[in-house]
Amino acid sequence: MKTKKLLSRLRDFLDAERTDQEREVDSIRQVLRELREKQRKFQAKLDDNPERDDREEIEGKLQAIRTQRQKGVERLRVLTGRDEGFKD
Amino acid sequence: MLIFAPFTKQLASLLERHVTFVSKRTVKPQFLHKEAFKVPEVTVAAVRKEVWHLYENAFALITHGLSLRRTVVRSEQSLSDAVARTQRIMPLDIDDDYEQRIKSLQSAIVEFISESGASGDIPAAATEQLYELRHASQNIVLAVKDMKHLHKNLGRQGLSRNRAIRERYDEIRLLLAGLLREIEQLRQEVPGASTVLALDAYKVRVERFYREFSVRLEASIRERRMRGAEATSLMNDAGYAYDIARMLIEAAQILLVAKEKEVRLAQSQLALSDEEIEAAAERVSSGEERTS
Repeated sequence: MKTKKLLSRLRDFLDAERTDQEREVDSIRQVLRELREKQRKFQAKLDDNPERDDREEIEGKLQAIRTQRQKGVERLRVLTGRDEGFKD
Repeated sequence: MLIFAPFTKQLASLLERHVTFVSKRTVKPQFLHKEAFKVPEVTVAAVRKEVWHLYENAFALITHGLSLRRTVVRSEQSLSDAVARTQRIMPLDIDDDYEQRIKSLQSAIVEFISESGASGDIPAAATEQLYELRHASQNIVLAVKDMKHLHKNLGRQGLSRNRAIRERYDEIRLLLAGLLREIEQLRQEVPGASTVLALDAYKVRVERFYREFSVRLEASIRERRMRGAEATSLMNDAGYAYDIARMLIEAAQILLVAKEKEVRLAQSQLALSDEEIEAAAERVSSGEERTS
């Protein structure tokens, strides 16, 4: 009985941890989706007019988004154990 | 009148002791009500709104300190044009404004947070958020204090006839005005999971500004376009601008952070470290971004 109870507690604990992890994975995926969308928009602005006045500002934004996305993909790989790839 | 005449001194000291003069201009907190203590989430929400209120006052002060109008910063108008067209540095009594519009609110926020801690059991997560909000308010206050120093030099040299000096001060003004606009735009956006991360890009811009500014200053001295003393003043002012920008970004990131614990965690995992910001700035400055 005692062992059963302990095992049940352990299962509850592991389930709770897995749920937290799943939520974190979902949140990172959500952030990554938004970042990819922003990256597309900024890239399109540059492609439309490569010599625009705020070119360097947009390049800075793209650079920051790329690094953030790389970090997110790496974190997902650690959490899920799968390589989700990084597509520009 | 005659009856009170012998007691004038005593009456005066009594009045001085018990009557506190509060200027009509002193800004009062709008959201800090003690009923909020009943629910920790409400306490956090009230403090967050009040820190935004503090930010709005700082926004007005810094915008005017840069001799720009708030409507211009909030509009879509070209900031470079607005900065370049400036013909007059707006006179400001920053010391007075700081006392009336910044310090009074900051004190109220700090007091309210301390009282909330004493009023009962607050969950650790709420305590942590309150701590961060207090940190955000301190950053806003420090940014205003630095603006005071910057405004003094802007008043003296900001519209200098020496083109090299004027151009450098315009760069400083443009950097800060651009940041204020960016924060305003993010405030107006529907908050998304990546909203707070957008300010990392501005950190990259601030980093690049500071590096390239020193290079341009050195060139100006070499080409005898300005004297060493003028360049030193400008370098100090670029330092103030750098600090103001970093403090405002940090404050805005705390204010814009997501409410959901998991999204906050994801945001913190993806946020750029100082080293990553420097590396990104380096890549953009060297033109690497263009070819990637």
